[in-house]
Amino acid sequence: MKRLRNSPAAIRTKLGACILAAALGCATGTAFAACEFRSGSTTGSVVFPLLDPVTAPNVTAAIQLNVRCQPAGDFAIAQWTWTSANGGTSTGRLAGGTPAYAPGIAYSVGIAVAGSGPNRTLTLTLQIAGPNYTNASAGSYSDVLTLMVTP
Amino acid sequence: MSMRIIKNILVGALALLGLLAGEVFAQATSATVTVSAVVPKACRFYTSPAPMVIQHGGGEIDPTSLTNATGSSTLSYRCSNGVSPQFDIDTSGTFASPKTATVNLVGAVTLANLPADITVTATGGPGTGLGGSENKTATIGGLITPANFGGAAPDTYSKTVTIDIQAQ
Repeated sequence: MKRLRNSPAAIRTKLGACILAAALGCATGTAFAACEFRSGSTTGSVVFPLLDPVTAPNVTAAIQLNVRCQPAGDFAIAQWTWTSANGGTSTGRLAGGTPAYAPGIAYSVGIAVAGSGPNRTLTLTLQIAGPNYTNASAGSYSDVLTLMVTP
Repeated sequence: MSMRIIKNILVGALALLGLLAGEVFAQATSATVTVSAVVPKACRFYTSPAPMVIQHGGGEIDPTSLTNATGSSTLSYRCSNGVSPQFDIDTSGTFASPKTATVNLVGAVTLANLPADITVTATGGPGTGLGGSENKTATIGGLITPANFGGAAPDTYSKTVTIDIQAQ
């Protein structure tokens, strides 16, 4: 047994297993995650400018995330979707205020991908229309957006 | 190929596998973004009050009367939802609700002073927002006591008073 573990044949077997595992890992990555958020871009935060209810202008905030599609051609078919924890899949909604502002503050979400090659920049642009917060209670508001990409 | 070389290749392959695995698992098909915003408290006036006449009737003060001469006017304010306003009169630096201050009306001819008590009250209560249909009423009351108008010279007395509003 000891002789078998140290034999060239045994080592070739182990090496083959490792290569197989690596290939499997690559195959798995390609099959189930053609497009992905890159390391360091799986979380983020967006802070809107102060929402002055007196003048109530439309306010915009944005964040950029690094994404990758392999092969790069997958960007043509990638679907970038999002869900708001307090809203839904078509309108984001900030919850909070004191007293709690039941309607919440609705905001829109825009997604654009720029760049070339497999590594690109996804820009998330959020906008709140003035009428959506002019009657809001004072205080802090928050939401969590979950972004997803398929395939 | 020697055992040492094969072992080095094996170690290298494992290291490469580790890097590949790290890259695969460091990426994700979803990302979470925390979104936040702050709405500050605010109150504002949205109309100017009509001139307030302090009188007993007919636009005049009866100097023989034993009752206070009074007057009132209103103006509109809006505040953030659930926020009450407070007021200041003639920029004293002290806000309150209701806010009362004594001001001196000045005779147009005699230039004499006639003390009057001015009170601003948020009769509309806390705000419901600063949107166009959320006006609340603030009432301005004026009062001159018999002790003050009893010895006043006949004249027309007036003063422009500045009223400020802020969120409590």
